[in-house]
Amino acid sequence: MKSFLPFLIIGVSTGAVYALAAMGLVVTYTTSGIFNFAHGAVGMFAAYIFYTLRVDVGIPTGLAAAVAILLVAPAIGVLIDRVLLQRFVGGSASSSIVVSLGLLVALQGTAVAIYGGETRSVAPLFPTSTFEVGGVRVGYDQVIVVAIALAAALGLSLFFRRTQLGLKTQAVVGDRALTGLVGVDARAVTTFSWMLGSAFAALSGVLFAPFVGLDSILLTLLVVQAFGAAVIGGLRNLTLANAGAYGVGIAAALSTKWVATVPSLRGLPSSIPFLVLFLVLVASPKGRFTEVGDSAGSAARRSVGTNRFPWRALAVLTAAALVVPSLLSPAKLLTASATVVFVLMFASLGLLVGLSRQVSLCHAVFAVFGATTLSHLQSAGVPYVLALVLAGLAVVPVGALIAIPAIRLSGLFLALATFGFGVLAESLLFNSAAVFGSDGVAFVARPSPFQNDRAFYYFAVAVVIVGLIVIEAVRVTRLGRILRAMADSPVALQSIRVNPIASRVMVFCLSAFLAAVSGGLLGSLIRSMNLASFGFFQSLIWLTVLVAAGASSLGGAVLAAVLLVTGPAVFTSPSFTEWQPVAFGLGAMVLAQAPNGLVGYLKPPPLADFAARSRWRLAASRHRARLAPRLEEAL
Amino acid sequence: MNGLEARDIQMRFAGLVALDGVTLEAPRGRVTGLIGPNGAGKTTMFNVCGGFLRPTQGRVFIDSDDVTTSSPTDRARRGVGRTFQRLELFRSLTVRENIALAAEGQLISDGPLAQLGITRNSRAARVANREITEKLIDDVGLTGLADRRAGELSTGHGRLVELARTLANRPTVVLLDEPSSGLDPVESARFGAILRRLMDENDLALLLVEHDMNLVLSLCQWIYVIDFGRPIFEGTPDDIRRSPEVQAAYLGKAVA
Repeated sequence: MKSFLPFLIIGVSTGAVYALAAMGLVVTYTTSGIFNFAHGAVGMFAAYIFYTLRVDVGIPTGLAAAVAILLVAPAIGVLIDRVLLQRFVGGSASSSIVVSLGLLVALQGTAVAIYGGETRSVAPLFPTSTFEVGGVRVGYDQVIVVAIALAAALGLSLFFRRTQLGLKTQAVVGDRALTGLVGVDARAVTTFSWMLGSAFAALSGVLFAPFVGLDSILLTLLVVQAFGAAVIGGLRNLTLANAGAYGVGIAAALSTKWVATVPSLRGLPSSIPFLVLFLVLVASPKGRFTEVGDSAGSAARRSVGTNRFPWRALAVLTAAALVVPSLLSPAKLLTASATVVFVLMFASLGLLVGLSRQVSLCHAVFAVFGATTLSHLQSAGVPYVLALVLAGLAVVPVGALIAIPAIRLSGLFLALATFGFGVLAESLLFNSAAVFGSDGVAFVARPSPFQNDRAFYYFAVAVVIVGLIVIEAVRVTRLGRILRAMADSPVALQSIRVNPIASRVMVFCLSAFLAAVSGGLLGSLIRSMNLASFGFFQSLIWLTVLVAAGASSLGGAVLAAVLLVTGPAVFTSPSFTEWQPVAFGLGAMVLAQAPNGLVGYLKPPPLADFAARSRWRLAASRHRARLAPRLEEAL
Repeated sequence: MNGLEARDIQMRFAGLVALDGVTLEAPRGRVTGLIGPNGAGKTTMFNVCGGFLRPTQGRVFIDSDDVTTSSPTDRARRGVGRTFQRLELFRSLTVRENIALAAEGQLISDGPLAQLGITRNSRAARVANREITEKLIDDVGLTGLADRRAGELSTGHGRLVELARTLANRPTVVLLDEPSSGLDPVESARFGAILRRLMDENDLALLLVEHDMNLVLSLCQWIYVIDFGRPIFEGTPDDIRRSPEVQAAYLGKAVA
């Protein structure tokens, strides 16, 4: 027992940081109805500001912390609410998820572009000396952090019960529409809740930084701990969220001790919040999590995609893809191949985001699994094409396992579950020998007749075209119709006895399958896949670039692939690569509610329009010509 | 009784009593109307019948089974179809696809494979679905617009698509929520004529919640009138025309 006590103390103190983050998340979610995926990123950004003020500018620690937490973070909160979300009232849940993810990617990218990717150590905020209680050493800093978190929890609860503004906030949480009638300005209250939530995020970020160092990804992922904790309180209950946070902290700390003897499980502690989230999702009856905020009427929703199979676009695309190699130097051929494969990747993601209005934040993980499974199957002697298909099929049960409990509940929970799974996969599964083998690299061979770069390019084009045909076929079949109907009017679909959950799970699995196939192709292209090839964070960048380019059509997938893959190959300056994710994040935020991203703003070539009209005129005149003699006869 | 029955419904929202002791019966083969001035509780009553609200007191029956506590989905499965006051179309689908999806609704809920177009059902079922779809398109007079997207249509045509879609799902009880809202008098009359014809062909229990008196009086065989959440009158259209209570409720409202 005694050997566990130090871990318990670490658990309680990290749990205190999680509790602060979770409270902030719950406050903004309940008041605004928007789940802020960028919650951790706001905390991260505040921690960097704090660091700059303290180290680079040299102002006293306390003042630097106060500026970061009480000034900068609330200002970010106001910006989020007034600039990003103001025009968002009545938007669909999936587009608000995309906006906050765009913010996450943009903030994280900005931090990396300014401060660089390496972790900086942060000098402790509080005295690190220890005292002994019952034979266990406890740090003063740990005690202070827990005291701050408890004080904040108490303060928040008093705020909600005792102050005018707190009561107004509760009223807004209770019924947004009604509060307007009794003279409460719901908008002002919402803005205040964003300021409050951001301040809590900043507080947790600043307190966390000395323990883990200044690492933009690690601090951004604080949101995972926060939602793992908050979900225990149904994302709404502050007391339960607090309890959940300490639970997650303690469980993670205790598992650290436990996995010390099992190296392959060293990622388990950081996966605890996701495991908690997953268990809560599985155990929750349908209807326990109803999303905050009302869904807009069908008039406010936009229609997605077309009902026609885009033969012409596919033909043009194929022709272009076949001509490209003769125009390029052999050195550029690898980029061209990667672009082609990414078209399939983005089209598979677009099937989900554009057609089904679902968000997957673990497509990069599917891609990695596709490549590594392909590698394993190749070592077992399975012929290439069969192995590629099997590698795709292998992720289907994984996808279904994540998707079914979440989709049952709501779109937000699918995003959360895939986000959590992405983190879990990277920290836990990628480290196990089953994925990358014992040396951390999976070698992926190319099919034997397509060994050289040019031949493999054509092979990739062929597979991608087949994949695109499958995707476009889904759009025009019954499954596609159900998904579009779902996007148009969920209540009407319910009224005609169609259950869309099965459709959503199926399209998620299909999307995962195609992502894994694309991953297999990418692995073959670069001939190997290792831990660093596709981090979990890639999934988020992919989503933002696709939304910015246009998620509802083939053109969007092509543009996304060009922006992501071809761009850095053409513009090789380091600042381009550094700021690229920031641009994608901003693009996703701006274009989340556009009909179809950037592509949606491109007018179809006037020629096509003209051709259609002239064909109609021709038909009309022929009809008249046939009718005229008979008319004359009749007269 | 076959059809819909709501007995002694009371609905309170905190201190506000929206419905108090309202009873109505909508048996099969009859068009039943529910009218009342604005704010009388029509929509509340409609939502109680459709399962969107659970009454504080009273019970709802479908074909004599108590469904008071069952969800809208459960009621849909029991054969309750409905339209929406604010048009709810699948805007990105064509008119034909809107109706066909409802015709296939039963089939689709059978299982995931059916959604991919793989069904154990015989070809006969598929042919039957297609026939119902085409017949309904024809019945509501949308043949010329069948391949247009529903989002492009006028409200008048949209109401017809919604009606056809509801009927394609083969309901036994149909709830129509203010079908004339957004229609001009000519469109409204045309909607009434089409509805009357469809009622003659199908053995349905139809409950019409409506504020357009002309439509209600020409279509319904039995009409319930409520005001301030209480039943004030019920009877045939002729009774309604002669009733001083109803006149008072409507005229009183108009004067106020």
